[in-house]
Amino acid sequence: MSEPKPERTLSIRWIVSGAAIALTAITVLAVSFVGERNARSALTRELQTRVLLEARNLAMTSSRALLSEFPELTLGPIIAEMSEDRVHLEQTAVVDLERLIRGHANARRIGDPYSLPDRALPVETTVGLMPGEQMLADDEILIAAAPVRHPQGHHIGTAYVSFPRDYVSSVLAEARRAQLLLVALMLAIGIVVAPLYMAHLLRPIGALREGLERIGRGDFDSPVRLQDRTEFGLLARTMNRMASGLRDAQEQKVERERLSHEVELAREIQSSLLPDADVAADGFTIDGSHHAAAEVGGDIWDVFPLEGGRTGIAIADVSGKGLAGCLVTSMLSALLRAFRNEESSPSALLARLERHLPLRSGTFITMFYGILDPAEGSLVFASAAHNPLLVRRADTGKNEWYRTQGIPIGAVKGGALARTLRDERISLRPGDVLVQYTDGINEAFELSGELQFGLERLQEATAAGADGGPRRVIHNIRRSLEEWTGDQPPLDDETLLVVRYDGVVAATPGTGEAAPANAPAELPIDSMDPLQVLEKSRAANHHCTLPADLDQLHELRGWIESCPGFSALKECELAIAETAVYEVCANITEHGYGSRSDARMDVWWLPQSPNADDPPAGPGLRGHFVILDAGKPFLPQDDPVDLHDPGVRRRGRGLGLEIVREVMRRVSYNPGTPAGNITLLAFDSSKPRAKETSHG
Amino acid sequence: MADDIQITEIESGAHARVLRISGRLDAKNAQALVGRCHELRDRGTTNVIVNLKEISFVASSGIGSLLALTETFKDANGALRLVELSSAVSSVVEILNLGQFLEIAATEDEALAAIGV
Repeated sequence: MSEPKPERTLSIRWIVSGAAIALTAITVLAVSFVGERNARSALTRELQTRVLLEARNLAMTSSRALLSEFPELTLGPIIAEMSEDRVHLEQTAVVDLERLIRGHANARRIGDPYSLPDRALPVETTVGLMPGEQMLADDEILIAAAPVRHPQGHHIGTAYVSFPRDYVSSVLAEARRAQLLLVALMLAIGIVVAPLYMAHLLRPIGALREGLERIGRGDFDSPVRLQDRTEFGLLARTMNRMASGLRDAQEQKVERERLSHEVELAREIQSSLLPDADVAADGFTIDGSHHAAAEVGGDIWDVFPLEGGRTGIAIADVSGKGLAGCLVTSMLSALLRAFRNEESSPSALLARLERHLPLRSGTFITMFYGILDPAEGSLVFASAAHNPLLVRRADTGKNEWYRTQGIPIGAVKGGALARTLRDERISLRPGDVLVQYTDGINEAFELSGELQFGLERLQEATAAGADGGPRRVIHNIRRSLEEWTGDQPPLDDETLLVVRYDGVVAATPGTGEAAPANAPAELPIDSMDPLQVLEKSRAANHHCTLPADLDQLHELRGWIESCPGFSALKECELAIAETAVYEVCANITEHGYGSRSDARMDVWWLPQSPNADDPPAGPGLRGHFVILDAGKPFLPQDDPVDLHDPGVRRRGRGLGLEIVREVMRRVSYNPGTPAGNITLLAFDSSKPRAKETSHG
Repeated sequence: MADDIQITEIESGAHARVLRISGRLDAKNAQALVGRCHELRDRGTTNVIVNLKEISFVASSGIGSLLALTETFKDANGALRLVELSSAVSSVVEILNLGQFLEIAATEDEALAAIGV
């Protein structure tokens, strides 16, 4: 990399020196000009005074001479002597009353009439003139006239004395010469001295510049060493403080990045432990949600299949936060999955977890673990000091709270936990909803920071959404919680686990109603790999190919009607099946394919029956619609829309997936398989619809 | 195109119109219906009755448009009423429990009576 060419800098040394010298010169010249003007006026006045005094003097001296017979003999030498005082002799004379010259330096002018120069005019003067006195001047000379008086006082003649005017100019010119010489000398000294002195003053700039360059290179440890009592010293101290401030800030930034990376890692580990939402389990619909606090907390929820068609559900809150809490959580999750089939009693499982978790003193876990049995319609659970379980009964609308005596895992050493735990059993009826949660939910503070969300509000939000299934319940609780807390970020992890007992749907055709418990487990296809389902669909060969074009999707109707079993369905059931499949295809067309016009998708119908070619007719028709597309995988909108909100109704959007979810028993979108994106829709014409399942 | 929606407009009084629509109420056709209804509203019609007897299929965008139009006319101090819902429409309305958000009447006469025409 080449060094950037340094920009031309203007030197402060030359700028300041030049300005100082120019200012000095201007000042001196201005002062000289004013001084000379004043001097000229003073000198002029002095000259006038002097010439007048000379005239008076001559007049006095001439008084007696004029009365003598030959006044010229006395006056001639007196006037000639005056030339030594620079008097202009030509116009210096003593005249009598007839204005004839009676005294003059030149004896030949005696007796001549005296005349003033033609252009001589009286001048204004500040010198006090006495009666009979006059001050006259032309360009070259100044003339003062004083009356010569008889000793008895009457006027007998006039004495004229004249001076050359250039006397003043010559005096001033001399003074000016001396002054200019002095100015020139001073400027010469200034030109040499000022830049040198400025260079001396500006010397610290070099050190400061080097210091800044070091800071620029990231070297914050070499301070600028400058002993200077001017502002530069202050600047150097400020720079050193800045460097150490930058060093601290950089260290903090590195630390923050490291921590943030750690937290991100912890968050990733934690979210990888959480199951996908909307888990399918035989006889139950299960959903959960997890909202992490800014600092990674230690909440976890989990759902997994157990032997004998049962399902395990767990929710736990680890007391530690950050990476440490996260490690405990991931260990807990791994151990839970390892032991799940080895302990049939929830309390035994919790006690076993405690024995295997290397918990440090002060770290403890509150945990709820339950086993759902679809055949019995029951939940057997144990709780290690976790929040009470809410059961919302579908038939009576009653809310039941189940509290237990267990202490937290890790709270007391020496196996005390096992003595406090007890398995509880709850019988469930179809439609019953179970809600478990961590204290981030019920202990969330409202905006003012005084009141907690509490169990009452949790119960209300559950009641309002119970008919809509776990997803609706979670949506309601989340919305209610967000209204409660406002815009504050969550202080603790907020985790929810909601289960609805659906009962077991009869495999026998024709009933169209939820079957009583003890019916055989059904729809084994739910647990199959989507690629296997696709394989089976290809073999069954009830297939159509559709262009990814909203205008062409109407072809679905004819094809669905041609699929085995559908011709026997009621018109409204057929219409609703078509709408649901259409919505999925429209979603793929819009979001997966965008505007590609050549794109296509494949749809299969895979009947679910012991004998696929002979499906049960009419109500009870079950099977899968399998949709394969090669578009861009996308995230389906997951939040249920709340139609009670007029704003949502005005937008009129987001209903598609609601329809699909209500119509289909199960929906699963499997993007990016080797075959493409596979969407599985489990259709069951006997599925209890929202309206029919609303109890109480 | 055969799949385009057909809209027949019948005038009933100064501020009421009946729209009889037939065909598939999908995303594209819903836009045509919304456009026509907004035109009517802008011209001062505050009551619109939409007859859905001949609708063979309804998509979520179609049902969403009906919800949005209902709100639009409510905001304009009028009403959009749906009559003679076909089975395709009524099954979607039922499954999403939308009866509470839509104004539904059995027949055009009943809907007209409700607005006093």
